[in-house]
Amino acid sequence: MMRFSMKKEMKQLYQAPLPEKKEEFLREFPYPRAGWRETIAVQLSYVRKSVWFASLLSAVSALLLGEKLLWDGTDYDLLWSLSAVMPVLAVLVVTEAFRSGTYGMAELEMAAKHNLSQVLLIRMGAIGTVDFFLIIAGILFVSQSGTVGMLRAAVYLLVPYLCTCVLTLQIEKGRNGRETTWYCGVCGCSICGVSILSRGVQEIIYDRGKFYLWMIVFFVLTLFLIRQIWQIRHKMEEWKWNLYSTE
Amino acid sequence: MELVFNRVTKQYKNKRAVEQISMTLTKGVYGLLGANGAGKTTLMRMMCGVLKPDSGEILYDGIKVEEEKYRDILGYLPQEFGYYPDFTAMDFLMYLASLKGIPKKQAKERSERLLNLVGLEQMKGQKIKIFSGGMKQRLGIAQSLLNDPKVLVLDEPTAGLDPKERVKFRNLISKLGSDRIVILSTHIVSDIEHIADVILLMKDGRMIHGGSLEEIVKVIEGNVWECRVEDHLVEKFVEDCLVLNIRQEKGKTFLRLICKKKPLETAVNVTAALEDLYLYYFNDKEEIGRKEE
Amino acid sequence: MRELIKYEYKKIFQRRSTWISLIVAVMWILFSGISGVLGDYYVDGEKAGSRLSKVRKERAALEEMTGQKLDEAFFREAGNQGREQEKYSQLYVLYAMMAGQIGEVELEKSNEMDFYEYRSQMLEKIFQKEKLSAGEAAFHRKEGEQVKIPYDYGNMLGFDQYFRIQGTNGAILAFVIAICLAPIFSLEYSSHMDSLILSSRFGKNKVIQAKLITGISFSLLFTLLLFGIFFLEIKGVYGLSGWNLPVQVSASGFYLSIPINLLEMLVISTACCLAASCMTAVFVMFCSSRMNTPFGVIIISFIFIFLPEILILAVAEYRSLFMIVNSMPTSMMHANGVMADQLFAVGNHYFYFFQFVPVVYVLLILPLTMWIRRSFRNHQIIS
Repeated sequence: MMRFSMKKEMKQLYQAPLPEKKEEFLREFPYPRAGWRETIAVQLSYVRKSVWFASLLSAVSALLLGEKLLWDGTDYDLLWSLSAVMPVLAVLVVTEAFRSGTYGMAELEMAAKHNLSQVLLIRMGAIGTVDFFLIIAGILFVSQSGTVGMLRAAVYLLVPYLCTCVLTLQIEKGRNGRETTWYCGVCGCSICGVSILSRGVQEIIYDRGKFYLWMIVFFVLTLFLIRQIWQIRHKMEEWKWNLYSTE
Repeated sequence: MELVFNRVTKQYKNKRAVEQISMTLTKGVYGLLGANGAGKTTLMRMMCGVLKPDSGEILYDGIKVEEEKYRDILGYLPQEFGYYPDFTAMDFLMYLASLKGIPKKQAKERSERLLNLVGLEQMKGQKIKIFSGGMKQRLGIAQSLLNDPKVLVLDEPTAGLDPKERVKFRNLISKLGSDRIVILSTHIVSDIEHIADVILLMKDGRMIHGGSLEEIVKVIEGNVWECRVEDHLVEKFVEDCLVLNIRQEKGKTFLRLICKKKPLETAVNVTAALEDLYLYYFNDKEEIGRKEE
Repeated sequence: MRELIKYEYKKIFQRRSTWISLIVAVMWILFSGISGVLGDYYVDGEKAGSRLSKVRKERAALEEMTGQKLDEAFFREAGNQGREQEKYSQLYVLYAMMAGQIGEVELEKSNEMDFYEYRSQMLEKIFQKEKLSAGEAAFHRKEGEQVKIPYDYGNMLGFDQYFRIQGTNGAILAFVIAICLAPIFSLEYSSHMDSLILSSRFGKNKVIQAKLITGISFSLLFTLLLFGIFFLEIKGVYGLSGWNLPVQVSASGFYLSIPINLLEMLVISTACCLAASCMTAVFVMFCSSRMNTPFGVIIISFIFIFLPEILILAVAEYRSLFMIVNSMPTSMMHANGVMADQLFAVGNHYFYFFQFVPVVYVLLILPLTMWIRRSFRNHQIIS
């Protein structure tokens, strides 16, 4: 008690000295840096809600269409409707990941601690993971209907997805500014449109005898995609100049 | 030749961008000066008929600015303008000439002459997408002059130009202003100082002052001082007066400031410049009030 | 004006997306024309030969039969020769279509009267399935009476193939038109050219007219080009000598009661395609004038073009929805769709889709073009 009152009196008698070299001290102060988990969580929070919503809505709509709405119900209808929606999911992943270039933020992001290639991969990984689960669900639904097995269902769904990913990543590499969204949209819609129009020839396209062709395409596309991801990680310079450009 | 503004007002959701502006512009060069968000670009867009006022009207010799007759004599350089990346400079001017109703043969001659005037004659066959910012700006200036306009509206025309090009531009505008109405807005005060016959000061959507350079600086004439003070006294001056410029020199600090009375024995009274007036007007209201007290 | 239209075309063809989509469309058309003759065909699981040779033989056989009629003698010979004979394979297709509606019918056991009787029964069954009104059914019966019996026979392969693929090609064509025209207004907004254009002399009148003329002319010319290529391909591969045969002898027209020949059906369906592509062009330009970027336009156009392709499968049993979906431009590019049994009734008169819908398109195009003019002219440059 005595100590407390003495402190109070001392404070009243003597004024604290003015801070010296405050700016310098604050400049040198070691602020804690965010770890990887926090960085990923922050990046996830910046992915637009509309992207998650659009992905989910597309997948669910395709499922309902394939299962419920098609009255004449050929065996492959569910597979057909889900594969038609795969390009939409792919376009959403790529355009959202490359938002920096679209809106001229690339230069700022490249100068930051977690550079652009890391940010791109985090975004692609995050949205891609959600798509992965949607595709798994699609595979399970399709294989459950008994028309095709799980392996075939997986390949039939992944080929349009990978094809769109590869093409749109190539577009992002070659173009800059807001027109990349336009080109990616056209690409995705085109592949989706071709899938829709192929309903009349489902029996030919999904013929078991031609599955080996699908496997070849699947492997080629996977290799392309791996190469592109590797380039994003290690050869950002090739992609950089496009993202840099202001026009 | 009269461009009449009659109580022109434009409101965005929760902000009045332009408020009740009434004025008449005749031949000459008008410099529109104001801080960011003052409403200059909004006013210019309304002048060109690409933005409709919420109330009031703008007439040129009795013709509404929405009419084709007005657009026929209008030249406009927007603050941000687009282009088709794969068009060459010549293509771009020829295209805009066709929009302005200029016959092809005449358009070709004028385009070549204007490209020469803005120093882009070597680049006439090159695609615009490879142009630097300054080159694009010069191309923009060229297109605004294609139809030999009677009313020339230039929004930030010298942005991106190097000092040599800026001087060239100033000379060009001075020549043009003799027989047409030229309105230009810029943040570069020296441009306005050199070429504007009339300076219009705009703040929060209103015209707060207008007149020739000599007329408008009278407000602060005799109250602009320069002095050198000890470093530890700088903060006191900053609190008590409106400081326009601070510069560190050996051991002392150079100050240029506005004060009703002589701030220091050694202070020297200097001629007021437009930049001083700009800083005087486009400062916090509170600060001005406190200073005036 | 000519100069302005020239610049609009220049802007369209300067875009890489235009060239890529045009090339892809032409390649698709070329492939679609020959897709029916690629690969091999199988009989009872065994490879029987190449499709090209099969089609060549069928074509030759059918062309030999030009001038013959589907009469008693014909059916007797067909019953004896069997389906392996190329000249009767198409007839067996017609019998299979009848069997699908009214149950088992065999060519070998039928004669001329049976064929036409089975066909009448098939049509009645279809009228019931499609829930046609009494007036519509009566209309179709009356139309059917005007088709001369016995039917002329010959090579209908080319027309069959053409009509079968026409709808799919039409959808691709419509999407390519959308890709080329989506930026026509919206790119001016997103590229900030709008302030220069709108402040110019012709920016609020002639420029808009030029864009509209460019959009509509582009869609018409491109439709003619693409379908022209397709037509020539089909002629080269399958032949089109059966132009004067009644539509009822081809698989595409077997369910129809309209008394026209295959050439007339081709003309009608082509005219509908032109009307549909014009309507698509105007719709795309309308969206373009209202939206700030081409991206939004292409998404809406994609839905506008491809949704009917999906919905038509789901709305077959819902009359009103079917009438709307089948009137959409993409649906109007299907030869069967424009001559569907469901009719538009105006008082006591009945109209096919190909008679009614193009008129509706014209009535829609006029106000839409005025709306486009207003949208662009009154576009406010805020940002």
